[in-house]
This record gives sequence, structure tokens and C-alpha cells, in this order.
Amino acid sequence: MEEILRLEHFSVSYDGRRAVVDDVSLQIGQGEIVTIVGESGSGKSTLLHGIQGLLPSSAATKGKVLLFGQDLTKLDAAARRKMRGEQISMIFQDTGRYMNPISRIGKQYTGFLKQHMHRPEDELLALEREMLRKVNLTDTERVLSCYPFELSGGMRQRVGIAMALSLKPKLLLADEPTSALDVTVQAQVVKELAALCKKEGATIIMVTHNMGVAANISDRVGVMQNGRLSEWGTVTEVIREPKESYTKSLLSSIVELSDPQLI
Amino acid sequence: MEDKLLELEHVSKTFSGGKGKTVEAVKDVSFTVYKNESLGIVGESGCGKSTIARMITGLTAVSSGKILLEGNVISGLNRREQREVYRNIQMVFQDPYSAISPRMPVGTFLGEGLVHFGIMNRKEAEAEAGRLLEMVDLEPQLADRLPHQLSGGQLQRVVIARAISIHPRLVILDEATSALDVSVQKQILELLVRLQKEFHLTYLFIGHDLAVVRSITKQICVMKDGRIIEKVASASLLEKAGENYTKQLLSSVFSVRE
Repeated sequence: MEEILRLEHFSVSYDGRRAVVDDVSLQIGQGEIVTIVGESGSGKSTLLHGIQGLLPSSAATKGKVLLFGQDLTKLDAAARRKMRGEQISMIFQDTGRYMNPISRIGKQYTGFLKQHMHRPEDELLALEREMLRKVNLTDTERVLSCYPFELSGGMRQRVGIAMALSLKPKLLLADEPTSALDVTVQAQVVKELAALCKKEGATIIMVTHNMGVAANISDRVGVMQNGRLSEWGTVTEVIREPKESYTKSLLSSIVELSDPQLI
Repeated sequence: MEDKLLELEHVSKTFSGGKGKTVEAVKDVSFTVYKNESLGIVGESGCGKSTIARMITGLTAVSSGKILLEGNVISGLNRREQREVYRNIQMVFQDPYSAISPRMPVGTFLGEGLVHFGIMNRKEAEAEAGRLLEMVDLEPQLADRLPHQLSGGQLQRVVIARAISIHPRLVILDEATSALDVSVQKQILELLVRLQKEFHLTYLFIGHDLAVVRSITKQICVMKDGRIIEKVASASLLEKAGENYTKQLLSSVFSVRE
């Protein structure tokens, strides 16, 4: 499998002393679905923001982030902006929060596309419709004419996924993309997202606290603890036969439907 | 054993949405919580589960039907009558940081209920705080700390300690473990089970996570669109769930097991 992303001894610190991401090295192949799990404060979101280049200017990084062999930490702001959207795209937990509340979905979608592609408006509109259908928002005209608040959380998240995949990014970074959704909607959106990435050939790195999600959709799983990548491997290696005691304790904390009751 | 503590009889709640529109948030809900037991309510956002909790605690008035605590009607009371009744019902919410003033030491917060209901004076209550912290497996020295100096799990233990400090008959837990990391969540669930046995508590446990709710309840009410669509024994949830919606909820849970 051809390599798409490689981290070499990547560290991030916000205060110059404590490493929030601590000496992380990993290698990801094209088309892989990777999930990073860990508890709050483990550094998993900072890792994602570090790859994307969205860290605050006060943050100091060490090591390399290599996308197709090119070190992203060496790029200037303009080069990074161009890369975002075309090479790397990102989905957040609450997509609605990144939308303009008083602008219709269609207008925002078109505005986003225009920043990255110079094509006539009807072609952009055709692309929008095509992408919305791919995330199972079949009533495309209604969605495009809605304001963000008129859509449910699940629908807004689907719009976010459609937008993120519109430019056919090679790498999709997703930070808890389904954690704010109801369980039934979460199950659908997670499966759709994984299937769509496979179909479009996009590589995805998803950060989640939900080990169940990781177990069900990943090719590869990383476990973060106090900034370090404490375990890294396939679902079988990390979730079914973990070697690290931390991974084992995380897994044993999960309350499952088939477990004995606590009472 | 089969003593009834809380009964809801055909309880409904209608909110007016302006312009003559109304929203029926809770529709004809009836259930019974027995003493020393836990009843679970499960449903997705907007199903009405938190409105039920608010009606039981008197924060929201019922539109029709009645709520009984130990056989006495507690819905539709005036404020003075409420005060006595609601000493017996305490509530724990999802976010412990929003339950306590950011500038109030944990020890003062713990003693508030005791002072408010005239069980102790302020000085006695401060001394009691240390004992309450130990009850939930925390160091008594934490009494002097401010909320932001505690982790979410520690502070949720504090909130639980305060809720049971005045010996309520019923504790309502509304998504009480949902914001916590998995390892902390399991510890809090185990704490709740221990406290229930020790103090003969009765729980109404509201949540969206079927596995979590099942783990500490005897019976589960599944809610959808304001109605209870199914009541099922927690122990046999997987085998006995009959409604399609309940099955859909069950199949939406991602398991780490094969």
C-alpha cells in the first residue's frame, strides 16, 4: 500500500514545557480508515489539529508531518490554506457551529467551493446535488434552501461530510464527527462516512472516544494516553488482543449490552 | 419489597410554542418506581425524558395526569407545600460544573442542602462535608477546593454526595454519567450501586446509552416522541425487546466485542 501520511517524532506543546502530543510516530497507507481513541485530555484532538496545521500560533511543534513525503510543518500559511480543502479536509463534532447561521446552506456551500475551484455556478450546483445525494440527503433542493437551524443535527453533519468530500481530498480528518448525534443517527452516519471514504478512495483519520465505533469501522487503531501513542495496530491487535495495560483497562471499563448487570 | 415510591398516572405535558402552536412533549405517561429499586428511562434527544424528570421535581408543571410520592399527590402543589416534598427528591445532572457556583468551595456546596432544610447549622454542615467526601471515596481535604480544581469525575461524586446528604427518598439521575470518560463512568456507576445498597436509595436513571442504563436498573422504559413505547426488564433486554424502535436502538450500539 502506498504511504500517504507519516509522522516522525511529532510533538506539540502549548506552553513550551509540557508536550500535549509527545513524540508520536506513525505511518498511514492510502485509503485506510484510521481511528485514534483516548480519553479527554489525551491529546488526540491536538494531534489532528497539528496534522491539519490549525494549531494556535502560540503552539510549538517538533518533528515532521509528511504528506506524500512533503513536510507540512515547513509550509507557509498561504501554502497551507491551499492544501486545506484540496489535499486535506476536516469534519468537526458540531458542523453547525462553523456555518453562518443567517445564510442558506446552498449559498455557503457554493461560497466554499468557489474558494477552491473556478467553474461556472451551474457546475458547482450540480456537484453540490451529487454530493448531498451521496450522504443520503436526497431532497437536495430543500436542504440547499434551508438555513442551518432548519436541519437536524444529523442532517447538518451529513452536509459537513458532503462539503468536506466535495474537493476529493486525499486525506479526511474527523474530530468526533458523530459524538453529538443520537445513537441511531450516529450508527448510520458512521457507517455512511466509512463506506463513502472507501468508495471515493479517501484516507480518513477519525478521533473518537467511542471504542465501539473504532472497533467496527477501522483498518487501524491508535490509542493515545497523556500525549503518547501508547498502542498502534489493526483492530485485531489493539482491540481484540491488546498488549498495553492501559488499552486493556480502557476496554474493561466499557459497559456493554451483553455484560452482567452491575446491580 | 414491592412498595411503590413514585407513581406517574397518565401524565402529559403540552408546551405552547407561540402563534397558537403547541408541542406535546410528554404524552400519557404512566409508570411506577418501587422502593430500593432503579427504573431506567431511555430515549433519544427530544423524546421527553428530561421533561418527565422536571415534572417529577416540580420544575415544570404537569398539563394533565398526576404524580404521586408514597401515595400522596405531589403534582400541582403550591410553593410552600413543594418545599417539604422536594426535600425527598434530589436530582443529578450531566455536567457537574454547571451544578455548582465556580467560586464556591466544594465543602460549602456539600453542606448547602443540610443547612437549607434546617438539618444542621453552618458549622456542623462544614464538618459533615469531610464525611460526605469520604462516603464517595474522595479525600476529606478536597472540601477547601474550588470546582475547577477537581476533575469532572471527582466533581460528579461531590454532586452525588450532596444529593444524598439530606436522605432523599428518590434520586433522579439525568444523563449523570454521559459526559464522563469511559473509565470514570464505570467507577461512578459502581459508586451509585454501592450507595444504593448502603442507604436504601431509589433511582430514576435517565439516559441515552442503553448499555449503561441497563447495567444499573431493574426495568427500562423506552421513550419515543413523548410516549413510553415499551417497558422491559433490564436483565432480559436483549431477548425480550419487542418494539422495532427498541431493536433499532439496540442494533445502533457499536460493540468492541466480536
